[in-house]
Amino acid sequence: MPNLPDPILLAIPAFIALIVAEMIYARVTGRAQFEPSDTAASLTMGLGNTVSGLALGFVAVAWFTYLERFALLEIGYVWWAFALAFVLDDFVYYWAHRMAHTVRWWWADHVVHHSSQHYNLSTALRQPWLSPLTLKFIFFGSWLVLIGFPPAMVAFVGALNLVYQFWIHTEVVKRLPYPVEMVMNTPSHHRVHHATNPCYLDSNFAGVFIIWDRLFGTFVPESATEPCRYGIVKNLGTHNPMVICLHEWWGIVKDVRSARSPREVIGYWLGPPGWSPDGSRDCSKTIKKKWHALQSAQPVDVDEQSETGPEQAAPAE
Amino acid sequence: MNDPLILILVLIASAVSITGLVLLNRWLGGWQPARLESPAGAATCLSNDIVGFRAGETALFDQGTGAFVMEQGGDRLGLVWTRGARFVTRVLSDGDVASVDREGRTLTLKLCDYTFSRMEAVMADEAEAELWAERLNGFLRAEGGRDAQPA
Ligand SMILES: [Zn+2]
Ligand SMILES: [Zn+2]
Repeated sequence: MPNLPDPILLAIPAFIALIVAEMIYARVTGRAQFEPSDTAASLTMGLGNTVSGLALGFVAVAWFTYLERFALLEIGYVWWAFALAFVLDDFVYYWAHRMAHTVRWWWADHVVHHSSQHYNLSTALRQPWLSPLTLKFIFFGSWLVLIGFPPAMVAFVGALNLVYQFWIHTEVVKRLPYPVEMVMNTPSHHRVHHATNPCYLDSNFAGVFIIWDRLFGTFVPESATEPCRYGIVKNLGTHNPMVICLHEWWGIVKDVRSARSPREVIGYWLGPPGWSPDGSRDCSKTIKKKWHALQSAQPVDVDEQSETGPEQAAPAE
Repeated sequence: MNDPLILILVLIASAVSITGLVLLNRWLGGWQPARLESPAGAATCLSNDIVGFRAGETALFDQGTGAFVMEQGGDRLGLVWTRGARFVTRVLSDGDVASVDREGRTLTLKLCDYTFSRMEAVMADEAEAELWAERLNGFLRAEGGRDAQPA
């Protein structure tokens, strides 16, 4: 078995250098924005994610070591296997990510990444601390190992996937050439994914290749007339990392405690984020539905609306 | 990462890098606190975040740091509050408020929402503060009531 490097560890100096470069570019051009308290929260979440990965990652390692014996094929460390594993892992990532937005149990973890109202390279590092406890690695990580790809190879291509996703968290890059935008996940596509505008909700779940969204009907292009508003449907009133990390978990606990039937327990736990027994809360689907109804009732001129909008996020001269 | 010494060095280097980046961000600036300049701004914030919310009577806080907005033809109260360069909104329904305290023209509001638990609003004058305190009291949680949930 070759001794594969850790791509994320190797990329950390580049991450830092690119954040510094984007900060300076943002200051000079005003085409991006960093806010110290938000940056601090994002980077702290990133560090916590690394620490928790080291502390809890052994659970996943133990699982894959156990699972390896049930593999259907014996695939070696050959170049085409790396390439195939990279593409298949990205396919699995698409579904895992889609589930992370539609099942509250996994959303409680993934919401951390979406909790910033800014969108810059530091947002890429805003990652959850409790991921191994969601058992996502069992549901989504097992497939490639069961096919026969070595666990170390799967971990390696998975890390490459995450390294790729770093650079797409930026407002600096507008649109890339057409063939790139067609095939790859780009800053434009991922901005839409981070946006809370009703028309953008639950779209562009891709990791590296946007083709999965195009194939499975979740692709939404960025529109010049609908600037992205970043964050979550109910933005947090704090930058406290503990609240960022735990708020949705706490929400699940409180809701499950108040449940009056097993159906309600399941709904609060595994239903879509925002699910409630009486439908009194909003989930993505209901928000989109209300928004579409409103649009057809009274079309809104987005340009006009933004002109009268609040003074928000204006970069300093 | 199996060597504890390397691990400790990586963690220390990460902590130093984070501090450095945040200090650089502070030094460079490039952002301004969000401010509401008019009731229309508050209405836009709320209608963006809460689909279908139609703004009615509005009171901006001193310096445009937020706003209280009654819903037109509804019984909810919209809240806009600045958090750095961005706005955070909430729409209050029955039982969402834990307490309302008024001191002169300053209102201190505690919400039954652990993601946005407390805010202070300096109103234009005491009469306006008194009026909105009274309205907010209408959303107080009943004793032993259930906490409001964030989405
Ligand atoms: Zn996501
Ligand atoms: Zn992202």
